[in-house]
Amino acid sequence: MGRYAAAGVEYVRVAARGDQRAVRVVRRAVHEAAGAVRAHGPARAPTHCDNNIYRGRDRLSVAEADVFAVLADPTRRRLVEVISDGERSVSELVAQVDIGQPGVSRHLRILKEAGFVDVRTAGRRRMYSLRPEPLRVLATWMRRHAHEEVHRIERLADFVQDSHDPGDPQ
Amino acid sequence: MTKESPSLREVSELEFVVEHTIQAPPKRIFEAYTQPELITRWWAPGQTLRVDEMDVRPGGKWRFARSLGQGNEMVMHGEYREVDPVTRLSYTFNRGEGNDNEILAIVDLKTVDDGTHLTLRNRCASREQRDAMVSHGAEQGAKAAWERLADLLRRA
Repeated sequence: MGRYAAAGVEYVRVAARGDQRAVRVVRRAVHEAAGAVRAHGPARAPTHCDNNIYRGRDRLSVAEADVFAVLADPTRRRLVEVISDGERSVSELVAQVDIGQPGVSRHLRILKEAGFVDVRTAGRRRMYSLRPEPLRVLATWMRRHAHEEVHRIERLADFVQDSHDPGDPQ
Repeated sequence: MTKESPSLREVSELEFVVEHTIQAPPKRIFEAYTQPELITRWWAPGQTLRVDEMDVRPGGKWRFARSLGQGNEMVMHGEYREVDPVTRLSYTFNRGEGNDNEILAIVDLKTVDDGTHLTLRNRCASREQRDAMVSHGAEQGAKAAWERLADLLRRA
C-alpha cells in the first residue's frame, strides 16, 4: 500500500473513533502524503477530475476520503440525515439519536469542521443546517463508479459471449 | 454479435441502474460472477486481478486486488448478501481497505429470447438501509433519508 493510501486508511480508522484532535493530525498526514504523491508525479496521483476514466480512477481523492470518513460514523450519518430535512437545534438532534448531548455536540463539531453543516445562533439555541458541498463529492464519486460499472458489464458481456465456443483463446 | 453498449440510468445522485442484454445464458453469467478462475478474466481491465478471498454464500466475504504497477495495488472487498443461482447475486462493494464507501450491488438475471437481460443496481446508502433494501427488495426499500439527501443535491 502506498503512503497516501496508508495515511487514508489510518485517517478513516481514527475518524470513525471521533477523536477530533487525532482526526486533525491524521488528516494532515493524508494531505501531506497526497502532496508527496503529486510532487513525485506518477500517473496515480489521487484525483477525481481526471478525464481519462482508466487513469487514477481507483484511488479516492483526499476530499472523497474526508467525506467517507465523516460519514463512516453511524451517529454522524444519522445527524446528517436528520439535518437534511431542515434546520435543527441541538436538543432536537439529541432526541433523534441514541447518545447524549455531549456526544452529539462532539459529532456536530466534526461535521462543522468538515464542512457538512452550518451553525447559527437563534436566541440561546444553536441551529444547524446542511451544506450540500461534501455530499456533492459523494455524488461525483458515485457517478465515476457508475461509469466503471458500465465498462465492467461490457467486459463481462464480451467475456461470456466470446467464451461460448470450446477452444476459446486465453 | 450485436455491439450495443449497456444502458446507464441514474435513479438519484446516490443510486444507478445498468441494464444490458447479453447473448449468453444466465448460468454462464452467474458462473462468471461467482467462480474465481472466471471472474479474473473480466472484472478488471487488463485482467490483472488477484482473488484473495471469494466465499460465495450469504455473509461470505470477497476480496480482490488489482495490480496498478510499481508495486501498488488497489483492493476491493465486500460481502455477499444474496446468492440465488442463477437469478440474483447481491454483494456490498468497498474500494480500498475501509468499510465506509460501501455500496450495495444487486445483479438480476432474466432469461430473454436472445440470451440474458442483466440488471445491475448500485446504491450508496447507510448499512441499515442496505439491509432493508435486501430484505424488502430494491424498489420499495428505504425511500427515506438518503433520498432526501439526493433531492437536496439535485436542488443544490
